[in-house]
Amino acid sequence: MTVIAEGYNSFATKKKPSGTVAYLPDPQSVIKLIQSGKLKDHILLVQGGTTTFLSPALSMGAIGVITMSGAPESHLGILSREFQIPCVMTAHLTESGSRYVTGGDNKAHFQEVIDKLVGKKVEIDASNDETGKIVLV
Amino acid sequence: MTPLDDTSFLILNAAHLNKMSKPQGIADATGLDRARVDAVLSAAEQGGLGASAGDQFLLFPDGSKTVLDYYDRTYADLRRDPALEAWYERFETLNTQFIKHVTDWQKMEGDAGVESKLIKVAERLCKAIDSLVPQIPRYAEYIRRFNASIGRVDQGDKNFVCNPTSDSVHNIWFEFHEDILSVLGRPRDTA
Repeated sequence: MTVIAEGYNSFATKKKPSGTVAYLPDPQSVIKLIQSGKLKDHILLVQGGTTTFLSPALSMGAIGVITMSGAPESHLGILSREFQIPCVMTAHLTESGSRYVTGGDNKAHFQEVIDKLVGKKVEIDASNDETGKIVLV
Repeated sequence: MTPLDDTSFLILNAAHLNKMSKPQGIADATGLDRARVDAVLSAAEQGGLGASAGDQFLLFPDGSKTVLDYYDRTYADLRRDPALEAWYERFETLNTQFIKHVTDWQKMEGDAGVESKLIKVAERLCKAIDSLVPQIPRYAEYIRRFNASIGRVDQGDKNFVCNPTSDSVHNIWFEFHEDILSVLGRPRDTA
């Protein structure tokens, strides 16, 4: 079991969704994924906790979410708990020292996370109250 | 792109704010009849502004742009009013309190004391919104919706606290937040 990333856990759950990581940078990408009929094949990677354009995917059966910034108290955190969709927030790569900095220039950090995770088959381990893990499968 | 008339704006704006709305939900939120809602959504779909997905209507980015263009035209003068900026700063304080209470309510499985605090903050927002109604008359609908949902919570219906698929207090709050940001012409902070 290789943990490739971890972050704040939105809520503790025994659910362990797995899928290929897809990065959703804008509303178009969310709509395209929904219309492809393959929403449930993917773990959804988004930038922040106030990524409101992800809402349609959550209501239509998204299985798991990873964010690169934001806290469990954010809008996405609230929705993930209501929909009971495992969600790891402000995830960072375990092999990297790079971290999200509030108010800082995080472009390089985000890109590093995107490059490492997108296209990988992963499982979300959200069993811990505080920390959620992204496991390579 | 043809500018939206007032009714089409209200309907597409409801889809823009909610992000996962159903036609009946739009009718309920706007107080408009269902046939009118269906006609506007159908025209929007034909015009490439959105599409039905399952039982929801998704507004495409071009649809959101059309809605935001209406905000730009309608609220240009209001955006220069420092009183509205000050109002928003006070709202941010309420918003921080509200989000914390919602999170605590979820984590404490519907704790009655937290629920009471959450509802009090929502009631404070209603009073604050009331002061904006002379400038933005459609904001009276938010007060109506908040009161209806708070009434359901008072009757013990937990689905009206923060269930995303009902017209819950949190849903209405979220939509209002999106709305006031659009009035001010501010993008939402994506952190």
